[in-house]
Amino acid sequence: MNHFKSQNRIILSIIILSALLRLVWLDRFPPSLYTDEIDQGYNAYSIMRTGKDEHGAFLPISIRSFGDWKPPLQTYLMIPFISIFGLNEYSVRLPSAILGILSVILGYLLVKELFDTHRWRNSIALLTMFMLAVSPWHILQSRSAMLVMVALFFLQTGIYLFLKAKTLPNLYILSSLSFVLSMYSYYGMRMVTPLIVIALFYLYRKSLMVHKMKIVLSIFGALILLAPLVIAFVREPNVILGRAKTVSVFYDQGINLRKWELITQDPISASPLFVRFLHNSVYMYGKNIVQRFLSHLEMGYLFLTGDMANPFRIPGMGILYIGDSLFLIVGIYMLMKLNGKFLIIVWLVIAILPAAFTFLTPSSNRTFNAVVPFMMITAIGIYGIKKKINRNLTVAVLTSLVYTVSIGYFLHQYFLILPLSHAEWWNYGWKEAVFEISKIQNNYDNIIVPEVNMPYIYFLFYLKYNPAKFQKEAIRTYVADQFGFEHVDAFDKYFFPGDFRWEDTKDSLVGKSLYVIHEQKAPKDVIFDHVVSYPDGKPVIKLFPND
Amino acid sequence: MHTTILLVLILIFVFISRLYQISLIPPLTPGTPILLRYLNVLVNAAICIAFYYYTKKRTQNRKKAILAAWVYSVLFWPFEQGRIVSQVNTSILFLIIYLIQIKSGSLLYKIVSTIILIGLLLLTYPQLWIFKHVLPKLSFDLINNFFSIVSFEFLFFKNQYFWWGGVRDFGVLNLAFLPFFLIGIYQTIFDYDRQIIFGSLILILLTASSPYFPETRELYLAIPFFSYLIAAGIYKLQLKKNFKRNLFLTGSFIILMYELCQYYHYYTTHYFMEVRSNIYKIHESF
Repeated sequence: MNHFKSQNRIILSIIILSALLRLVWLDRFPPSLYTDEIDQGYNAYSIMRTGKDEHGAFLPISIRSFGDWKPPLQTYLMIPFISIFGLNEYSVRLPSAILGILSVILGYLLVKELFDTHRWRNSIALLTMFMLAVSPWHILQSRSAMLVMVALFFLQTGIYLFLKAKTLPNLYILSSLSFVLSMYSYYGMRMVTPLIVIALFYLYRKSLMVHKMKIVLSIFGALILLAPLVIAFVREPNVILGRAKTVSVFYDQGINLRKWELITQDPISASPLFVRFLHNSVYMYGKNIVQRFLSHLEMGYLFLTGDMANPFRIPGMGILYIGDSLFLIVGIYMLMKLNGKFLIIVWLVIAILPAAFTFLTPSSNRTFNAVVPFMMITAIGIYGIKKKINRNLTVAVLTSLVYTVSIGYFLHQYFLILPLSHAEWWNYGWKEAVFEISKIQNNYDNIIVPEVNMPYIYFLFYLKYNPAKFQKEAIRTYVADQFGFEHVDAFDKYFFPGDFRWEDTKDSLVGKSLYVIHEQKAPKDVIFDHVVSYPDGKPVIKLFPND
Repeated sequence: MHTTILLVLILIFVFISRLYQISLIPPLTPGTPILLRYLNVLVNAAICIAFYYYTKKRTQNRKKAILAAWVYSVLFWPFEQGRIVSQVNTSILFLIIYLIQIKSGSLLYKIVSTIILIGLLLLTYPQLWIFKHVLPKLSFDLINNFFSIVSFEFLFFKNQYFWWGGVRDFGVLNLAFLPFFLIGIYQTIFDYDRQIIFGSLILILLTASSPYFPETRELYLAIPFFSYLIAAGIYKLQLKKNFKRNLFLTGSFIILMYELCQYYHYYTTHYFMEVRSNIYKIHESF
């Protein structure tokens, strides 16, 4: 009874810790809403008020957004929060933060279910829960609305309910619902979830045979729920393929160029068949994909440098604590001796698979659902060392010291260094610029904002622009740029020229206009009266009134 | 008898692969006597034999020993180092001989053997950084370098750190050996084979702490240990013969053969061109 009470106290403490790390100052850290976050927020606002997204599509199955066709679930989850708290950073990020806390709890439940025959499962479950609660990777994604946290929650729920259904077969239906919802949450889940389901069916095939009718019902239910997605894909293939095309490893011409280079270096007398046998796309792309897959398991990436793509970077550290490195290695070794290992290994491999087919690797965002198996393995490693050394106090003290220092360092980097020195990673500046402009915009006929990081969406969001009005008056060409993104050229008196160059424009500025120029396009030799600055004082957005 | 034949076949392969157009590929630097390359080929072959006896003595298993010698003979880096004037190549031979005979003997014998080994290393590979710097590079770079060395990228895909490491479009080890390498590491830890575990770790740390990193070849001394790990992985998998394992082993062998074709072509054509246009940057016997 006492043991049960003390375990509950530990669980409660970890939940409170998770909540504190994910909810406190959610509007300020990260320092700004990123374009993807703010776009979902405005689309949620638009659907709430008009039933249509910014493009005028009624209750869309896929949010067209910037031409990247975002999966819709997170956007719809924002609607109740926006209706209660208004259109702001909190409402946008709350669904992700709350699901992040629930994901931590699910980590505990999953381990208990996965290792149900092992007597130490409670310890591993608690350790996994704690590791997820303080994981820098998990905290970063919980505190931002980048789709993957929602996807992870539903994937975890689906797996947990599937495992639980061995004793409560009705849960198969709920499990299939969760899996389907995960596929409406994030692009990568459309590959990950079916593979995980196939793996679960194979690993637990004996227990499935006993509940055939429930399985059939679950599959049938899932297919019905997926039908809207399939229909949307048939009508508009870009719903699934759009973004995939421009980030795919096959879109990158580097390999083809290298192949051509090697072929031209071969002797002229060489047989074309021989040349093709050695220099072919199958081998070169295949090797490249394997390399990209393994790049997600590199120790340098995991523990030192992390993801180098904005905004998924944490300055000065990897996505896992350096202390995790030892426990992860020990955990892998110990995992090999356990029942339940196959699911963890398969989950880890499948989590990384979609990212291996993209050319921006390693990617912590696309492989985010690998955080759960990583933390499980680390927890097993911590427990294994404690059991092997058999000096509970020494191990506890040393481990606590290592993690106290690591967590302290992470908090310092995330809450102090990131907003102060790297605010540009989160497109900082547009909110402040919009507030400045809103005070003086009536003095001008035109607000001209050269295109940098989709400024139009920041204006829509922070001005709380009437969605119905925007749907009618937005001027767009629907022509994608080289990265596959579609831009807005103008709405109302706001103009967003894509090819703006100050040197070409300065002698023919439009009268009674306010130019809002991001530092990426601003001239260095002109003095601007109004400047919006980064927290460290460097200029980010410059206002140039042309009366 | 069977093992002897296999060892002879391995040696024949070593001689053919290392001697083929040895005076042309890679080009000789001015003043490099071709005789030194021939001697290096002999040393490379001697390493195979010595490594066979080392593994046989450690494991009391001829099959494992032959596997280890074979793996060493087909690895990319030993192939590349076997065809040039490589001082570190000779150091490996002395290291293996030292490891073979060190097990038996009194403490005094071991101390004297170690001193002799250090002396031989000083003679054959004076560039070893511990002979020039008292203290290693102890900084954050050590962790960074360590992770770089044990990365999949460096070991199996791109040997970009070492000009002297050979062909940059291939890793230090063959990609087909990756699953066996991982199984071998697991098995070696499971068996708690201290010499292999700590020997590899010490050499990796030695390389990572070098002030000249990445232009340093201390890691080459660990190649026999890596070969041992790969051989241990292959041996473990072929112990219990079933259809899946046989299929996996066959598939891996086919991939290995294709990879070797890729490598030898790249080495004789593209690497040859690369060295020829950069030969002026090499200021010693090559």
